[in-house]
Amino acid sequence: MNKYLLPASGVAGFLIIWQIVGAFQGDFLSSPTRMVGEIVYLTTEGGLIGLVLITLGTMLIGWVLSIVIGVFVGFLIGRYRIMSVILEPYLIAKYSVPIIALVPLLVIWFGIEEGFLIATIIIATAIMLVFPTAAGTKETVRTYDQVARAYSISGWHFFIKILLPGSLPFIATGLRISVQRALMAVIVGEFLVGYNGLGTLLKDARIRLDADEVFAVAFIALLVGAVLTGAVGYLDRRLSSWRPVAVTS
Amino acid sequence: MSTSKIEIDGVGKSYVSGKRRDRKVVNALQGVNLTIAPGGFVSLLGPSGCGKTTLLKCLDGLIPITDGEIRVGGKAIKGPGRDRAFVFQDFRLFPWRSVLGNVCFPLETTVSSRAERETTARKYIEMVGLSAFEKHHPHELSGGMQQRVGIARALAVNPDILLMDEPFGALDAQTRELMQVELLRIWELTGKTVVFVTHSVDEAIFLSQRIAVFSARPGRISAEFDVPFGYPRNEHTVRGDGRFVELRHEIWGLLKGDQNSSFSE
Ligand SMILES: Nc1ncnc2c1ncn2[C@@H]1O[C@H](COP(=O)(O)OP(=O)(O)O)[C@@H](O)[C@H]1O
Ligand SMILES: [Mg+2]
Repeated sequence: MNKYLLPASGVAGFLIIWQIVGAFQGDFLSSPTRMVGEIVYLTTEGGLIGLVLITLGTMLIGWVLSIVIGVFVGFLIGRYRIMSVILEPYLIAKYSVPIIALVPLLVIWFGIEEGFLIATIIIATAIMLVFPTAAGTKETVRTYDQVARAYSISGWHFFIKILLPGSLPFIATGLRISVQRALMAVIVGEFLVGYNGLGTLLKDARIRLDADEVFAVAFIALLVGAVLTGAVGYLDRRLSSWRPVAVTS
Repeated sequence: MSTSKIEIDGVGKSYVSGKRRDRKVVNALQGVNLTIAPGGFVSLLGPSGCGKTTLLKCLDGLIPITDGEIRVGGKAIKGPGRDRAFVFQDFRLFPWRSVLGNVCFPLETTVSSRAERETTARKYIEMVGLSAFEKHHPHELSGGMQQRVGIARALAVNPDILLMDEPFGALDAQTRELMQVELLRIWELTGKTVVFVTHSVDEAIFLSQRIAVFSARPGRISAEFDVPFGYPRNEHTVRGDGRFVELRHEIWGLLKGDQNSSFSE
């Protein structure tokens, strides 16, 4: 109870102050009531739900591809030293180049449709799965390599029965940290190229200098992000229910 | 030489680590000779770092030897095989699998019928006294129970030889004694050949027919002892026996005399 009291009163205080300040500077700062009004308007008149679904759909496609690519590369790096030697420079370069610098290239390669959005998500999030998966793979190989060989388990069986389940908690970490970023990437991508979705609403809002709509979209994005994070957390707990609580060894 | 199950013939093992300049070579084993009879129970005893684990892994074929030859049933081994099974000191169970799943694991590449695998696995789970826990996961079990699973997993492949690397080293004293008694019971029941690594003199005497004492750097066998007790063994009668005290004293003297030894009781 007390655990929720402090944050809840914090939020309440913030909303009250926002409401008061918004009463004077509504066009700049909007206000909670104006924001809610905008959400209602967007839902009834602006096709908000459809746009959220489009954004979500694009995001899921891109995210799942990121996971597949990231986990695959992570396995390679974790399993074969030579792969980590070959790939690491690129991955580090990838980390130090801001994504925005790649946008023109992505537009040239993928145009300004869904392909661009998916590429953007992959570039933004795949890497977040690579390193946890590589770490999990290394750890799993170190712990179970001799068990596998002692019991003559190799190849595909080793991958499916040992490597995958052993790395799953690590992959789950990658899922948790990447899901929010995938959502952000798709919204920013839509904002940049004007593809239908939440990001496009933001773009319209910017053109019309509509603060209410900006806050409304931000709030919806927050909500969607929270739901996604919750779903991933649930998945994580289901996938690694065998893990003792709060123990790392 | 059909009378021995395992023949370790002039075995040497050196580990090479590091690259180029700071290449380090550790002579873990040198000139190790030992023969073990079928159905025998032999302990490898020695201080930490003397090469006991190394020899056991060589016996399993997990790591290649650099000198000599190891023969099992008269044939030089080339790698791990179904005739040998390894029990790890830290259990190495799969935490994401139940007890039943862990014991079924080594059968999954050889036995195609799931029902058949489970029947076999259950037989050994029962043998180690864990039938009531087959659905539990390792983290729900005590250390002693986890090692019982480790032993059941090893038995599941029905090997001729059990290779056990300080299997009770991680357990508390009481559990350890219990497990020793259990192991002897299983050994007598199944007739496996057991090679048992330990650094406890008492454990080696209580369990085995023969004890090979190691000395360190490079690891080699410095003496072999026959244990003058028959089976089944009773802890209290064995420990109270004058010959136990004498043998224990003799082995201790040998270990203390080893100047490289970092042994302490
Ligand atoms: N993978 C390895 N690489 C290099 N040296 C090793 C390796 N494994 C063991 N050693 C060395 O070999 C020696 C014997 O080790 P080990 O067989 O584990 O001894 P024990 O089991 O008797 O404690 C030790 O000096 C150890 O440091
Ligand atoms: Mg050891």
